[in-house]
Amino acid sequence: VFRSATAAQQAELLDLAKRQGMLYGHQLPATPYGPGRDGVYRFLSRVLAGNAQDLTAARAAPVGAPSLDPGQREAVARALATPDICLIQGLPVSGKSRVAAEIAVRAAERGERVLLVAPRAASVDRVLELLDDRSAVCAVRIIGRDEQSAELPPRAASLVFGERVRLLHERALRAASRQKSEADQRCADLAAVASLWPSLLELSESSEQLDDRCNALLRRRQSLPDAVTAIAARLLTSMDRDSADAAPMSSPSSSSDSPFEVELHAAVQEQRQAAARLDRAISEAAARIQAMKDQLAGLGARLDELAPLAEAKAGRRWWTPAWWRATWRGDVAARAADLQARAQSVRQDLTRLEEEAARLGAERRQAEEKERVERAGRIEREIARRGAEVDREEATLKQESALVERKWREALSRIPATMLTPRAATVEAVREAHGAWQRNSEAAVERRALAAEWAQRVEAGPEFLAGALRAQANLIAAQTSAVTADPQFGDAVGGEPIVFDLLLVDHAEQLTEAEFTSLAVRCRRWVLIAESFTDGRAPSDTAVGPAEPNSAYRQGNGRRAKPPAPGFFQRLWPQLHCDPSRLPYKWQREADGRLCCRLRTVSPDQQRWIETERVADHPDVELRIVAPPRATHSTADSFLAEVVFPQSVSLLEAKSYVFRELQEVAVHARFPQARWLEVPDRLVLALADDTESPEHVSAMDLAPGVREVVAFSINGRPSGTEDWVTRAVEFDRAAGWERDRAEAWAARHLGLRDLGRTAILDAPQGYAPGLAPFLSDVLFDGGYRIGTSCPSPTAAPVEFIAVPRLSRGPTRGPQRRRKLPSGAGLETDPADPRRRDRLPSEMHARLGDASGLVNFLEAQAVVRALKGLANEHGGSRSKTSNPDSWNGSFTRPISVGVVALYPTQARLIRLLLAPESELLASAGLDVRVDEPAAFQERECAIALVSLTRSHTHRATSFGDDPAALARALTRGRARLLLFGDPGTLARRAEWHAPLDRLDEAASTRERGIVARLVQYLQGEGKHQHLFHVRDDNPNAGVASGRGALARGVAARESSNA
Amino acid sequence: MTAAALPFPNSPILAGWWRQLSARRPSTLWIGSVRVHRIEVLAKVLRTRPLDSLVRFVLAAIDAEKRSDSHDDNLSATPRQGPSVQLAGLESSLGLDSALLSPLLGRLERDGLIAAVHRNDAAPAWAMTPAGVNALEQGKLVQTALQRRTFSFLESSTSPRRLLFVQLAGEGCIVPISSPSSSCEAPLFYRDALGACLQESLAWKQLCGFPEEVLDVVSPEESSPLSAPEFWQRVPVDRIGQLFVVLSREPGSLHAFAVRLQDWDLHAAEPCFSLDDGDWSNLYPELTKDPPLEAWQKAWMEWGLSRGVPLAELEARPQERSGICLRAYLSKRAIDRLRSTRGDAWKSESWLVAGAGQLRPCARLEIVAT
Repeated sequence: VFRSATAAQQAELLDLAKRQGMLYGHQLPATPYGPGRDGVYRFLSRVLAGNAQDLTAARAAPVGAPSLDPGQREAVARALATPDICLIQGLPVSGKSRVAAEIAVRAAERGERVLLVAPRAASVDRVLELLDDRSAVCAVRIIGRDEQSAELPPRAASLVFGERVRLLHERALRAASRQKSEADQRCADLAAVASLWPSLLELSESSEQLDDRCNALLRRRQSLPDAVTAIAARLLTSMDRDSADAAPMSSPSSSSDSPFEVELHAAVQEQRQAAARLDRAISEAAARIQAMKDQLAGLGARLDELAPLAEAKAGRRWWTPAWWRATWRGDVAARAADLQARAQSVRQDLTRLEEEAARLGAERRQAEEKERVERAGRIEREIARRGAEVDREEATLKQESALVERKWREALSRIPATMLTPRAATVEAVREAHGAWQRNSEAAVERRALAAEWAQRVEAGPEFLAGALRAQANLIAAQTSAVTADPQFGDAVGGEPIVFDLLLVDHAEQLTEAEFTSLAVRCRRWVLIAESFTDGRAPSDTAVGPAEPNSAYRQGNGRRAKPPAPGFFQRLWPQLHCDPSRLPYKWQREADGRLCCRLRTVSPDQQRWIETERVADHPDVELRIVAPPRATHSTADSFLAEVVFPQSVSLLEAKSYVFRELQEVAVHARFPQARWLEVPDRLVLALADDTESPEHVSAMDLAPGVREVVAFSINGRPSGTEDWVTRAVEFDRAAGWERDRAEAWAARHLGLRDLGRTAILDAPQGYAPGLAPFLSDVLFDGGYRIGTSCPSPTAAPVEFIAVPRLSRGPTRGPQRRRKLPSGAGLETDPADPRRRDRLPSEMHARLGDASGLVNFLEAQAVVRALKGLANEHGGSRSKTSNPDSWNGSFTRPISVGVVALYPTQARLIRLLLAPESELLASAGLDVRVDEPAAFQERECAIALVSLTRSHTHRATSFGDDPAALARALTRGRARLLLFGDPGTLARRAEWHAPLDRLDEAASTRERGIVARLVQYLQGEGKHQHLFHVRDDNPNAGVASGRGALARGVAARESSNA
Repeated sequence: MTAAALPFPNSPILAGWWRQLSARRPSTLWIGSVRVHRIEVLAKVLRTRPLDSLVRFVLAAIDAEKRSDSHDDNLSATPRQGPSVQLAGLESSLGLDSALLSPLLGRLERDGLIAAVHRNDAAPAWAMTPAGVNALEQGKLVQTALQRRTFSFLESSTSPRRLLFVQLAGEGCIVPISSPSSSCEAPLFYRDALGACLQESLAWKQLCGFPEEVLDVVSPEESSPLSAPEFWQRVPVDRIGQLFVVLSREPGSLHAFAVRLQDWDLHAAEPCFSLDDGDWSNLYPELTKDPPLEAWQKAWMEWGLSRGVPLAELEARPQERSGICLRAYLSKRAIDRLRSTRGDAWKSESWLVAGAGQLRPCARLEIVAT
């Protein structure tokens, strides 16, 4: 309800809800729009009745798609953001199909289901082809009653529901069978391993035990020196303790003592006994030495006592007491000598004894050293002995380990390579691997069950997959007429038709309202993409010039072709599109130099009611007011139509005055689309083509933070004149401008409100340099948006082959213009008996009863041109390494389209071309000859257009409608060759009235195209350097175009670069 | 604006309704209009839907791949690239092409059953989420979502006004009224009523038909963490209407049958709502007692006078209430006179409606000769 309400209603509802805390049923607007016939009708009625401005503006989030140009991205974003409808209008070759594909992909990525339709199957298939590698899309192509699957392009044929289900089923069957057998094998493999786990566990335990023993041995080996040393130390300590206790040295106490200990004990004991003996001898010697020393001391003392007496006696110092005592004692000298002799003897004995004691000491030390060395030797020997024991044990362990390892490897070798094995021969690793095996076994069993269930489901028949495809398909593509009756996705499926999130209509310009409604009722949102041959501007702007009042038509029979009612898309477009070029404002200099600002359009009937009035405080400013007489009820009230400023007032001053006094921004916008751009510091309402580069830009402040940006003399228009456009209106964020406020301001002061539901595609895609500007000028009066950075071509991409040849004369200027011949009258109808001479009898026979226009000479010229191309291509094929150039000429032949405006002419060309098919194929040319309608959605590298018409005395139309002519001219991407009768074209350019089956608008459009083409033929085209006129030379073939193909290749490469 | 009083049917219509309802053997009948609130709010709802076959197969395939992958990762010397499954793996295991699988995987990802795992050096892969594992185990998808839901309430006939939740059928018979009148404190009013329902036990919800899957109601002031609905999506809407019903009192409960006012068509096939004894007596206390005999006498006199019975005859004897009937006494002469008119009275199809409220009792008239 809320979404479908108008903006005013929404504001009111929100206000009520905030005040009341809720809403009551009676406060809600009527039934909402949405899927359902009533909803669609109500919405369309509302829009077509001109009430679309009540719709809430949709704001699109930027879309990142590097492969698209900015305009295409904007279109995609708007299509995705619209809550109800979005209209996209594009010129030919502006990437509509690509945009449609991108919209479909983005919608599918959002989980939406898209219904893609087009009046022609080729359009649908073209979009499907572009979706080839987009995985988010599950597409199904619906076949119409008049279609055969075998006739569809390969991509589309593979998407037909039945074919898809068949392929899915076949593939699923194969996969299910394979999966089932693999799962069975996997389970069997896992089961086969089951018996291994106990033995693996046992082996791992053995292995661990062996490892433990090995480690123990290792530890033992490492501890051997310490252990033996400790034993020796313990033994010595024990012996020391025993010796300290003065107990007799005991022998090893127990029988458990090792030989080492016994031997050591014995050796130590022996050594100690010897040491004891030595000790005793040393002690005795010491005692004797001491005794001798004592004796010697005693002898010394006695000698000391006798020596003075003996000395006194010997000296006869009788006066001394000593002499007297010696005398008294008698024989002192002898006794002294005896003492000395005895002392000498003792001294000698002492020396001997000391030597003996020293010898004994040395002997003892030697004994000690010897014992220590012997003990160390014994310890080492014991260590070595014990090490040898460890070695023996280790060798035994190694044998056991090798045995266990061999058994382990044998066990592991029985586990398949695809299965997990224990990472080590440990109990833990085995248990871990066993756990994994158990889990894998469970998973394998589950997978087997799943595979079996899947296989059972798939083998039951394709219905399951058909249902799955029906449920998962998110892009249903069909011709418009084929949807409702489709058994899978039509209106009558299961009683309740599938509802789509998005209806995507390509070539919506061919859609009727009834067709749209029948599809729209099943879709929540609608995106209509239409091909246009104008750039969205008002039709009057695209006309070449005003119709001459004295034209034959106006003087003629008085029949005025009733203009047909605009198509459904064309009726919707103006209601939803924000077109600043439709604003009534117009600025012009009047004859007297005054500047006139037109504020409102004044109809011819209202001209007579214009009254002028001077502004009171600015008498030089004149107001022109349309003031209908009071008695006139058929018109509206008085209104200010124009404001005229004196000559001295500049444009900016005048605009400032208009805004200040009238609160209207009288913009001048030629660009047919207004777009909001959000940049960091400001909001921009862009009203001009951003690819144009103005010479001078001025900004005029309108309100705080608001300014109008005006650009002067754009794209080479003569400077000095007052040629200007409003480039943008900008709103500074710093001044507090937000998007809502800015939009409201623009709506109030400019009358512009962008509903966000339309987009224009006007940038040509993939043309070689030069071709796009030419086509833009000739077909769309500059409607293509071409950047100024477009490189210039090295050769003219457009060639006109005149049939018959033009007479010699000046190639440029008015003289040539005047000298264009009249029509040659080469066209004929094979069914017309009066003109049978214009077609060889052989051709008459081969065409049979065909009727329609043919031009035999022109058809021959086309064939000659093709042969020339074949010759050219043979020489230029290897001149480029760009695989993308020439429509992929290195992976497939160069596509050449021969577009004849009339089917019989196409047939005639095919007949003439048949003998040359081998030549063309060998030259790598893939030539298709058909009428324009067959080239829809099909572009070629080179297009040859046979205009066919050649009449002697009257203007003729070219093709069924101007769209066919435009389609024919836009098919070539690199090069365009036109074949026609210049005189007939010139005659057509001079005819302003409706012609043949064309209504007035179509006739005007066709005349515009032809007239601009004639300007090129006269050497006065806007991009004349892109256009080359040459005569058809039956003898020389297309020699004058030699090398052009190579030049085209180079040009295309340059463009790609 | 106030709600316009709805008209009451005449005796033949009541007789017709009685023929439709007599099989139910009601002890008492009332007719009249009740006020109905259909309150639409943003509710947190537990949505449960079974997994379709293909989804189940895809989830199972991802789960199977993931489980084997995860074990291998732990133990294998050459582990695979993590516990996720690439599109190619699914294509291989199910034999379905990517064009079919990709949208499905996208949907499963949006439903939160799987999560995309993006690696720099490989194509995106998918891994099961806990929700996906649960869904696969239970065979159904359980999600919490925000939905606009409508709940029907009956408004009591007396002050203070209160709302009682009912499972309402026959919504096509509701006549919208454009005044909230008694519901001036409406936000609190509906919030209390809905809150009370949400607090009730599961047994109560099953008994009363209150949707069990509704977990909570989002008020306009709050923003749910599940998503960020805009304010307008959270605004409650109360659609108030009047429903003309025939109330049939039966043992233990009161059943209401909707009437389409345009043609007095009674939808007797099933009640539009039913109330237990305690509920209806609280909601419509006027139904608990029969109107005073004066009211019936007044109705009887209006009936008799309209059929030409003399006032004296009508006033002569008292009437008696007996179940669904009102027994009235008339002289034989008066009865003969009525019989001569061949009117409805003598076919035992006369019905009287007594009282002046929105709900009025009705009784079949039995005329007894004295």
